[in-house]
Amino acid sequence: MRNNIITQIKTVKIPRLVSLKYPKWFFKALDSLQDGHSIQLEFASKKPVIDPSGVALLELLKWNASVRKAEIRGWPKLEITFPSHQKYFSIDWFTRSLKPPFFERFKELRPELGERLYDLELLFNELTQNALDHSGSDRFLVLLEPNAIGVFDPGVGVRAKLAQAYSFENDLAALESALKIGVTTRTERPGGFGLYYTLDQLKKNGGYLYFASGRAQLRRYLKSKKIERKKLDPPLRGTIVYCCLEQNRRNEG
Amino acid sequence: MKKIDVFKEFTAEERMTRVGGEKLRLMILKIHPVALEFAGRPIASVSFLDEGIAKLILEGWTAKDVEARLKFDRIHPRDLQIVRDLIKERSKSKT
Repeated sequence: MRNNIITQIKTVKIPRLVSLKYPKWFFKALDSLQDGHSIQLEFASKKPVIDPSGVALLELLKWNASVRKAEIRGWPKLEITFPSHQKYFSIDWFTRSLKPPFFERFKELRPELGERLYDLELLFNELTQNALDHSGSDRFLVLLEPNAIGVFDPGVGVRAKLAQAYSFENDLAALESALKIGVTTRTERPGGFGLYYTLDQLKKNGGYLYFASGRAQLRRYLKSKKIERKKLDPPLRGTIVYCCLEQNRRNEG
Repeated sequence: MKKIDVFKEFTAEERMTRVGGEKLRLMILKIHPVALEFAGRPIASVSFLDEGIAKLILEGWTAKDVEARLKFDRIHPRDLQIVRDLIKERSKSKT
């Protein structure tokens, strides 16, 4: 069979706004790479607008391709246009043995954020600790923005992890439960407060949460209390948590 | 009153983990009453504060015991609020 020796290439269309707000292309691309295909990126615009979460998605894609020895064609020499309200962000890979002094650096660079730094540090500590303790992955990507943080891990996913102590009908039920107080899989030093407090923090700030794993994705807008629950097809192997401290109209788009 | 300097006794990594928190709780149980020195710097970790302080409730302490036996020197106001919230939650879950 010729197809067995020729690398198959799948085309993935990328929207003009490259962002977690419209992540479908990313899940498709990731799925193609996991099936062993190389991919051809087809950008809708020669000058795509890539927000920091979009940069994180592209970085994740690049890493997945290198792990799977797959090729990404059409990788553009991007002229990155950041939305004006987000002129600065940090992105870095964490490994189990190496945690870069990431937050400390961010604090030194952005002292003007003042009290906001406490909110970000709290979210940063909880989310990175969760990824380290529960994802089962050797590495994960952290994105830090002046008003948001994202943690992306290619680990076992929320439902599989919680299955050690709970059973859920589907991935969506697992995601919703993970945000409730007291839900924990630890037998030693049980907790169950981390994600709950993360959500609480966002509530106080009127923030926004994006949470995806397996076949489910959840968007919660804490100010308007709007919740969007959607199936993910193809599914995500791993977990994405993205928290924005201030909800704005753009998020609800 | 004995003293534990949280920023000297614990590494940055310990200050964000349950393992570090457990170490703090065991130290407190050994030497209380004790003053915890936070040097005005934030901890910003629910895991550390829950395991280190709020879980004293699960060791048989009451919220009043925590107030009487621990002194929170120069603790960041947001950390103190989290400690109080966690103590409430731990007290509820105990009953």
